[in-house]
Amino acid sequence: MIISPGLANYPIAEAKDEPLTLYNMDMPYTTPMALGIALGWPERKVISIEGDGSLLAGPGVLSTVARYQPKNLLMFVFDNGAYLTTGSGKAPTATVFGTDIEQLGRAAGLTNTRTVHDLDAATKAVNAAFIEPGPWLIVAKVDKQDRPAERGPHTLPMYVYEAGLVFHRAALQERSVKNNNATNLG
Amino acid sequence: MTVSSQRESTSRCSCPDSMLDGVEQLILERGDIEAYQCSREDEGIAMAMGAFLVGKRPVALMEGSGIGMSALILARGIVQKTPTMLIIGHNSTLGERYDYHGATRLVAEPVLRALSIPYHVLYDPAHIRNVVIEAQATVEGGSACPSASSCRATLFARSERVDEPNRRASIHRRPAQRCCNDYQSWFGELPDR
Repeated sequence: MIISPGLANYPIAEAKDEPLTLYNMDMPYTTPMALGIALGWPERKVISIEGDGSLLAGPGVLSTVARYQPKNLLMFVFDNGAYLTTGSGKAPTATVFGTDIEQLGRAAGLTNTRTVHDLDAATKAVNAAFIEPGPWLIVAKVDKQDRPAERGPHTLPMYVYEAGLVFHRAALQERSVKNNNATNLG
Repeated sequence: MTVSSQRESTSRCSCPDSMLDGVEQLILERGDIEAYQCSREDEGIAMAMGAFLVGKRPVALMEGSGIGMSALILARGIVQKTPTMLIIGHNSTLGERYDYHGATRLVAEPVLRALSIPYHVLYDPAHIRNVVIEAQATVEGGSACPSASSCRATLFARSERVDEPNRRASIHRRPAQRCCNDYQSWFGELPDR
């Protein structure tokens, strides 16, 4: 899982920290890095957690995802209509003025797309994304009430400078174990 | 292009570049390296870094202007210790014939220097193989940061005088094939990780 900067990092880390997670990826690169992982490890489900601001910083990647159609990639976008973790958090993103991220994805060539407005619909969409081949683009319209600055200081379980090493080591180990198991079974 | 540690597959991420076009076409024609073309160079570098994270040998091919757009993801790779190799056509070198590449020449090499990314400017096709192997070794040898091989304008497009309108195809195609027909062997001497 690759997570863009913003409020999504902290509840995900609090729920369960996994070594195969990169937090606070720089804004336009969450989905590109997830795409590289998905293409390089097609047996593994790969999730990019985007914000509306971060995805709109590099929407061209939607066309690259559509071009290569990685079945194991899920792009989940929290669209709160604001650059919420920057400054006052009042600066709106383009989605407030009509930009539709799901339609951007469809225009890029993606077919498995959803825009969800409540938890039930989001759960159904994610469940579908884990059953049906991707790539998937799910846009969750959320409000601004979870702004981290208003909830006190937050920390993440890992520094950026160790995150790549931890991820890389965990991925090689998991792939090695699976390869060995496959060899033994063969 | 990315070459896996298990050698079961190879791939690379690239944006189009006139000078490297011959190499890219060869890779696409031969199909022995996974090849992904992307919409922006910084996107491709991020994809290549993602490939490294899961055990591939990442290489991103691009023209020099792409480096100008890629400072942030390169810096992220340094901080996060996620390397990739870059092969860059054109740079702050001699031989640029188009004035509209002036901005490219200004921005490419200074970005590499500013980030202290080890790089080497190639002038002689005879050195391609060794430089690429050494750059890959630098990526894998513990530096854990991007490493670049910048190609002088005339490296793949040696000054063969040909007539229009076939000038473009000829100039880029034939020398590239001559230089790079054994590109797979660039990686052949690297030990498995």
